[in-house]
Amino acid sequence: MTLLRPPAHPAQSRRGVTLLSGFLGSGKTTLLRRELARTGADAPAVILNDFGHTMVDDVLLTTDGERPVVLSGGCACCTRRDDLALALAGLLDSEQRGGAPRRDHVIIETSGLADPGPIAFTVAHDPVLKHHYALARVCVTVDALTGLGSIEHHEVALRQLLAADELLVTKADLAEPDDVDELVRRLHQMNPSAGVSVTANGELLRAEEAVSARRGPAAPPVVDATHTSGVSTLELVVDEPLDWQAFSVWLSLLLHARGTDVLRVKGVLDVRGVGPVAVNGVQHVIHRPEHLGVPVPPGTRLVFIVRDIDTELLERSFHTFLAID
Amino acid sequence: MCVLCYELVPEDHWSDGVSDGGADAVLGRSRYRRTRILSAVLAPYGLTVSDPGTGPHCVVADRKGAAEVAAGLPAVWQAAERLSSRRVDVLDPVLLEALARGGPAGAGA
Repeated sequence: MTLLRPPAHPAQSRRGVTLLSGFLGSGKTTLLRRELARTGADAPAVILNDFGHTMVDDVLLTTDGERPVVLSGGCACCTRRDDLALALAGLLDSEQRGGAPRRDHVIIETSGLADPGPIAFTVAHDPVLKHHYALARVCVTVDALTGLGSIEHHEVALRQLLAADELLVTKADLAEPDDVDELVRRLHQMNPSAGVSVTANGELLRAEEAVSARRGPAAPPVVDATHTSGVSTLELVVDEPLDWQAFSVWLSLLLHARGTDVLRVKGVLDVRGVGPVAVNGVQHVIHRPEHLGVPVPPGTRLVFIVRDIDTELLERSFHTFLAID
Repeated sequence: MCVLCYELVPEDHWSDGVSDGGADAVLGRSRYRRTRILSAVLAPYGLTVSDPGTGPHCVVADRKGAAEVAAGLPAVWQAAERLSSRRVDVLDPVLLEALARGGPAGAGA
């Protein structure tokens, strides 16, 4: 059982990238060390970014004498984006020179102060890297003891939480079980598009799927679920197949006009004439939609997490665009 | 850049990532549909959208004859912002009213 599991489609030619994010001290490195110990010979390549020049984690994460690529001295989301691109290109270079085996999975452990959005942008839009790497998922650690406090007091911790495909509650053995249950409930409420796993010392204790992945009646919109001013969650549900052109025009205009206030977009669309399509976006970065080859229940369910946007107006706008003749 | 016509090839955009097979007739219908929707959306801002039928471009124009060639949706919105005196916004009540009244041209220009 791996917590930072490889991409869902290992057969594809591009290498899957997992972003491992989480606020300072939330247990990213512990989790990654356990993950590397579990994967053994199939260990993913690791790129490590930390805030500060003194590195200790690269030593902790060394496997079989091979050290991870280290970017130090700043967050990968701002000052070190070029370095991140160079590090990913360097992995390719090593493979092609025959110095390293091909790794189909790369884990980027980000700085505790890094916003995953711009890092995702670097992977998805670099003119060379986008042909070799695909962002598979964003995993975010949340400290069972201090996680909620960080989210409520630090904007970047909130942005990490909202960018997550999978939330990993760490240090659950140090907290009261009731407190962990309450934290899991709050995390589901704050980011209904993310699964939540509870861990201790890098080992999985239990896993719960995302609220938005559960079938049944749509949950009502959750307003200010994060206790952070202006952040709201909206789940858009459409029973009939929708028109892709109307939807893509609507979403692209939304991101153009309000991109900085759209923190997360995730869901499955039932596209007329096409079938189910997964849409996933972190802030203004929308990944290339994925045609789903597996059967899924009919209908569209799309979760938006937005800031300072009137969700009723957003829902009205969505349905108005879809109704364009 | 295309070596035959010197046109700049736009970046891949996520909105181009969904298709139902890629037959020419289907692509043509999708393109026509997108132009029709863009026309409806930009009509309340006094703009028109037309498809010259070559390359990945469309033309955004105002009523005074100013026009810009735009390749891809992000370029369309950027052109619209330069040509219109009003900010194009997906949550603009005037836009939503115009679209709700129906008609491909947005009717409420």
